[in-house]
Amino acid sequence: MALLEVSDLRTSFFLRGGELRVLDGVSLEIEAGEVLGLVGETGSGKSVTAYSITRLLKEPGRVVGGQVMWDGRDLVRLWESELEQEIRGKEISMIFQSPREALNPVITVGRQLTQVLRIRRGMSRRDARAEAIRILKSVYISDPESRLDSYPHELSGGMAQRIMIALALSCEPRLLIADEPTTGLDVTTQYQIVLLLRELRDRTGMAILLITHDLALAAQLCDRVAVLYAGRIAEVGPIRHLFRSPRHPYTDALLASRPRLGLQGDILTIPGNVANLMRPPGGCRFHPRCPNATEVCAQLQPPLEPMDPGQRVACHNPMPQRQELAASG
Amino acid sequence: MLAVEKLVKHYPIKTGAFRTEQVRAVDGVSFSVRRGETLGLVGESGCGKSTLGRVALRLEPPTSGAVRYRDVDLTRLRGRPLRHLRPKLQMVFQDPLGSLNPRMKVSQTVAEPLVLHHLAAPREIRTRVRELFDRVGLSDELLDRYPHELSGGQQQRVGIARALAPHPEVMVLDEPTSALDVSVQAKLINLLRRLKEDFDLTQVFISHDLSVIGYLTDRVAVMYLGEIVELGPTAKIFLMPRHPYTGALMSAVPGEDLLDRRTRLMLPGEVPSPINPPPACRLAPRCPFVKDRCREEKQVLRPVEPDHLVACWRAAEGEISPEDFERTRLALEV
Repeated sequence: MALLEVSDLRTSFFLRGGELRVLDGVSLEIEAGEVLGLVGETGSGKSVTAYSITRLLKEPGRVVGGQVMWDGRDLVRLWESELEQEIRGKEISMIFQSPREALNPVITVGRQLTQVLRIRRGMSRRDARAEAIRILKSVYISDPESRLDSYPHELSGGMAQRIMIALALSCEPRLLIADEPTTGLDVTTQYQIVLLLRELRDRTGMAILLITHDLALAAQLCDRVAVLYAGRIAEVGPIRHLFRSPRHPYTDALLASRPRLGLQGDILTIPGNVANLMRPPGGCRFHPRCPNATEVCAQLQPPLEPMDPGQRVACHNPMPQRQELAASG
Repeated sequence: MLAVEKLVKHYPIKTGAFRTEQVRAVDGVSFSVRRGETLGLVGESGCGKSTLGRVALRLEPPTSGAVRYRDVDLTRLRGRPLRHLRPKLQMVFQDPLGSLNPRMKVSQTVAEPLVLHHLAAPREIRTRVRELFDRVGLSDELLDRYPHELSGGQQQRVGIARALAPHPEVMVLDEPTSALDVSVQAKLINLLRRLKEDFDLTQVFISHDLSVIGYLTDRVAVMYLGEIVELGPTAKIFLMPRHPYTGALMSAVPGEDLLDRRTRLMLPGEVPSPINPPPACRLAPRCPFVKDRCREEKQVLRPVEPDHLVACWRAAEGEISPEDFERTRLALEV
């Protein structure tokens, strides 16, 4: 059984102008110890998915349908107090894009860590301090004893993110939700965070839900990837299949629109703009921009269906399977 | 077209009640940009690349050094003569919304430089603005909108149209695509490439995004802690980097195969503060190839090939080569 099973999740933002259907039936599973990437552009609903799962969504956003099954319990319908005491920050932890903003600026790193350990794990002051030092060491912070006395503004971006990861790991969660954890960090620092997350997964066996717009980052870290477009999953499957033989035209176009050294002529681009969620196009939401669109695409929403070489795709006219992969299986 | 000589920009900051120290944002940088060329300026945050861009266009005065535009030293100009040259030197900023006046219709923003520098007769202005909108791929319907009504990509196009309005010769672009989504970014990059041809522009393209730099530029200058550590043709910098810092940076560039998870060449630790940078070679505390001489001798750019300069004596004297970066990387893999 999957560790987390999201089915038909629907989240809307209720604005003066009407209902903005940001998530329109998102389903996904995460297995224990797996890294699942949720990839999409601004407004695709990737962060909203994370906030809907942990119920940290702010007004005017609201989950209006679907289930989030965790250990036989539906997080959508759980009492807030139960969620807060037993699951959020304990079994499911989250890290965010701006680590320095997520930390409390007027409290030392050490106090933030030991507070969590004392409240969440019932440790004594002295045990909590020893455990905090151990945790900082585990995310490769040099001289952890003196780092405990630092304030967040004294940390570099990379170090602050490692401390956020340390905080998130302090209760030994089974799922870590990482929302753009390396955006805003420098390339070399980004890579250090990638290595750290990879190693922590191998060492602790926790699962990771990585939310990102960065395909290169997803490629470095994920086992499977789900590509979101306008609040629906376009394609989901093992990263190798999605990147080597994408079947959804949107995945294909995203991969092709990367600039790189030695590329001749124009970069391939996706025509048009991201779907307006206030008045989303009927049928497949990508059809107005899709090179493969036919009449049926404007009328019928395509279901997610299994396709070779091993992913699920929501498309009436998928891209042909790439040959080299078909041969090697 | 544009040459920067021994440019220095220090900012004083208060570090205590009675103490000020200098942030050495740019510390003795020289390079030149040829006519019609795109020079990339890369480096990590805090390396001074944005400051360098602003000082090179004389948007800020340098602490010392010279900026030559067609043999005129911009740093010696004040008032009228400087204003006279302004139209020729334009800048596009990273944050499109922040760089547009929120109370002006976007057509007014684009018209502003035309009015300011008397570059078009009042009745021609509307036509000129329409033309510019067309060139940057903005529809006429957006002329009377305000910046906040546009998407990020459209805002950036307005910024580009404004920069193009006075027919510049040199354009400095500071991370113009960094805040945009992949698909929006791709369109903007195509546009920038086309405009460079159409308007015969000389460009300085500042970015931390190495994929974009690799695609768009002819030559690259790599900056570390306020200094240029390597300068050369883009393909050479990417494929045959000579400075250990460039080696580490390029090792982190996603290649053709995104799924390639080979270990990368990593530098230990983090970039030190530009307030008290290491005295000799600034990379010395983090460099896997460091020798005593690196901690004693200031490094200057020296040629490894006529068009390829590197500020590392070991690379310049042939002691380390790209193969050594590869060997170090492989050693990390086991």
